[in-house]
Amino acid sequence: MKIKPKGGSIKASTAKPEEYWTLRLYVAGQTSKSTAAFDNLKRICEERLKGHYSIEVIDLLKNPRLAKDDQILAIPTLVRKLPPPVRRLIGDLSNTERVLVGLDLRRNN
Amino acid sequence: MTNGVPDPELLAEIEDLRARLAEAEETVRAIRDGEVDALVIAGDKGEKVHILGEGDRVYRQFIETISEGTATLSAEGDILSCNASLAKTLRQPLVQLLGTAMRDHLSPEDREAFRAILAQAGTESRRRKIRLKTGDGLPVPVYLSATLLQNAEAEPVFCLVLTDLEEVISAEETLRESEQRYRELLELAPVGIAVYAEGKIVFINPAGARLLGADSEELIAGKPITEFIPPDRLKTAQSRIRRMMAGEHGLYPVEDIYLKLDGTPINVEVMATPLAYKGEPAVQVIITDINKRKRAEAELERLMAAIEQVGDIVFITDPEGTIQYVNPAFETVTGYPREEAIGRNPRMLKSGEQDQAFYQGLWQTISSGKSWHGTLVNKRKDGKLYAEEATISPVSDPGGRIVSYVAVKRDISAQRLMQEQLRQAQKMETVGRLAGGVAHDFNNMLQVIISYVELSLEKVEAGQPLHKYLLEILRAAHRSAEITGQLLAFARKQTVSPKVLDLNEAVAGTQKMIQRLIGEDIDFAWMPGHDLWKVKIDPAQLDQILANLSVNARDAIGGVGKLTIKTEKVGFDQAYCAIHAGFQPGEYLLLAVSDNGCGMDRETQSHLFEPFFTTKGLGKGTGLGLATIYGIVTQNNGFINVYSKPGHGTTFKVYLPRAVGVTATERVEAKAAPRRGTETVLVVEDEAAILELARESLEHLGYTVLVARSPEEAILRSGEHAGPIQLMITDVVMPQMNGRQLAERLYAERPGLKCLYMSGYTADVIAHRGVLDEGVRFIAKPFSLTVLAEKVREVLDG
Repeated sequence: MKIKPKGGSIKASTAKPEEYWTLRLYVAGQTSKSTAAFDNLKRICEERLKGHYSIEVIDLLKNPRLAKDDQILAIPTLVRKLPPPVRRLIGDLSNTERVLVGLDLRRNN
Repeated sequence: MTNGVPDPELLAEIEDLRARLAEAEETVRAIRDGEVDALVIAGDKGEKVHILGEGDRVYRQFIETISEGTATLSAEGDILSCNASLAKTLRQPLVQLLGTAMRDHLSPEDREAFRAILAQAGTESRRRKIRLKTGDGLPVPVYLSATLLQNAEAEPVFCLVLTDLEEVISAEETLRESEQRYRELLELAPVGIAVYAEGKIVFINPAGARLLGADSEELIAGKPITEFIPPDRLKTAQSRIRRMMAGEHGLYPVEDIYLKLDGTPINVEVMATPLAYKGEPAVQVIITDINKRKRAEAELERLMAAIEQVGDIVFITDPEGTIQYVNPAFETVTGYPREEAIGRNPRMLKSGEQDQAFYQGLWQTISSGKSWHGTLVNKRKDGKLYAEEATISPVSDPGGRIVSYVAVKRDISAQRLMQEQLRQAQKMETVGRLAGGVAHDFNNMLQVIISYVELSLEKVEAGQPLHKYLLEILRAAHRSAEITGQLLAFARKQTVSPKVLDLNEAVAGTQKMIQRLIGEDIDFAWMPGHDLWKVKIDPAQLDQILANLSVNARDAIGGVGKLTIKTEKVGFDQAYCAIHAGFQPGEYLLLAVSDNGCGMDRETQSHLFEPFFTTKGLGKGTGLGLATIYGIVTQNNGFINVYSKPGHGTTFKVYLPRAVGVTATERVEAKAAPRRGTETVLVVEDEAAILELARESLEHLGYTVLVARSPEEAILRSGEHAGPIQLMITDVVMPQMNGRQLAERLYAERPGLKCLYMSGYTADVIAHRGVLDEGVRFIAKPFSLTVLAEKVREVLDG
């Protein structure tokens, strides 16, 4: 099941209109790593992409077939759908440095 | 590859491979570092997710199950996770809550308070009342508490616990309501309810107080229970309470006796259950006043006992007539045992003696609510009919609907039989009186005939034909006298004159009579015993016994058979008589009369000696034969027993007491010539012919004779006569004065006067219980000259 948070609760309101980030986080229910991954991702996005991102949380426990789309092997996995190219990061995203490198955010800064 | 410049496609492919390798390395690293907790494995049946570490599964399960709402919030206050209970309270799908700000789910006015809670979360976890804003806009009060979870690796997280106060409030309300109901129940309950703790009544409801005779509960509450339990029951009660306190289950209702405040005992039924009262073990008891019930039960028991013991039949049916209850009398009379009768219809007793219309009338009467009273003939189980007097009444409920019928019946068969017997006895009495009267007059005539024939005979030479004719007349007259004798016996006007007899001689003397009675087809065996004692009995009665028993034997044989009569001496001691009903200790002469006839069953034997009981056909027996024998034997202080079995003949055993102190046997021996005398005799007789005859007879024998036609005349004659009068012969029954009164009158004037009574029958004037008083001389009419001569001399010489 796709989770698309509504309203502006996750979307930040500030600018960088040239690039909009679409992130997809694959979780398995509310395992500690999944929760942690979401937490970490949310924090990083708010710091770096405020207002320019959306996070779609996909619970593979409820619909394992969706794992096929992005060839998910391990959970949690974060997939950057936009901007291209597609990038994926595996794990709870607790190492912020590695996340920034993996998502190519360092460059932007 | 022609030069050092790499092919761009190849470079792209290498780049892709590198990326994939990096990705694979990254995956392995993440797994190794524990950043991954689930893997997706693709198989034949599609992808499956395997969660690696499930150490926190128990807690997650716990969180999902509890009724409190839980949530984890990011440091910014966004919902990272929450459980189903919170989603339920907020009335929103759980997935829609994730990622949203918690404060958006609060009532706007409580948001500041929420912020303060989060701000303090690190230092204390305080429970605050906060209102949530639900999906449908309604505020829901909750208790909210928050803790801040901090660790080195992760960002701090707030943990929230929310308790839905609406549920708590409604639960509290429910509790309050139920407490209110319980209180009302206690107040209004018609039974006493009390709580015992620490040996005291700590609580009692108004009904309980009333039951114990108190106007208000305060008078009872706080008092020791010992005040309300009789001392002799205290031990049992206390042990019961102890067992209950120790956690035993509630006891079944027990009946007990309590004491009221004023000390009067009351019957109660007590049901107790263990209970915690203010945290301490206690016993709750429900007390019911069963005084009324007890009284009703006792009343019912008494009524039941009466119905069970009463001689009348009582049975109860339902409205359809099906028997529901019968009393023992029903069983006895109808022969149907209770278990056989219940469930059946009383028509099983129908005898066919009443027609359909009779029953219709009966049924119409009782089904219309009225009682029916009447007599009817019913049939016993064994087929015998019996008459009963019945009252059948409907029993209605308060609404007037008939719920059952009660029949009370009395078997009047015995009553009817008694009436029948009484009628028969009265008839016999009448016939007897008539016969007695006739026989009396007839005897007087016979007396005249016999006496004149005897006088004539003395005047005629024996050889002459006239002498022979006169003898024939005399014989015929004697036979006639015998017939009147039988008539008198039948009329029970017979007077007995017991004599000391040799039983063997007496029986032997009746052999001819017996043989005539039983006829030629029946073999008669006479087996006299040796060295018999003497017996004292009127020979005529002995004849009657033998004749009756012989006739019964003949009828029982009904053809060819054998009759045996034997005699013997027997003695019974106390011990023997103690175990043999009907026997009396002493020495007896046994006269046994046996036949090999049809015999009798027990039922017949039990009625044998009852008057008018007969097994013989109509007109063949009076039913008085054995009754007479019984009377005779009893009169002579003896007893009689019967031994019989159907098909095995019958033996009657007559036991006559040994005559003590008598050795000489009286024999009635006719003397060759009448004895003569010269004394003066006064003859009193109202019948002229007899008077004349007596005068002539006595003068013939040499006596001086004075005659009188009445007692008055006798007194006159006695007065006139200057010389002595040695003997008065007087009739017993005369007008004005009876013979006895006359004799007493004359004794006064002539103390030495002797008296001889004569009568056709003896009434009570000279006979007591049919036995002549000692010293009273009597001559039965008609008498022969010889007998008169003998009697006169006997009296004069005695």
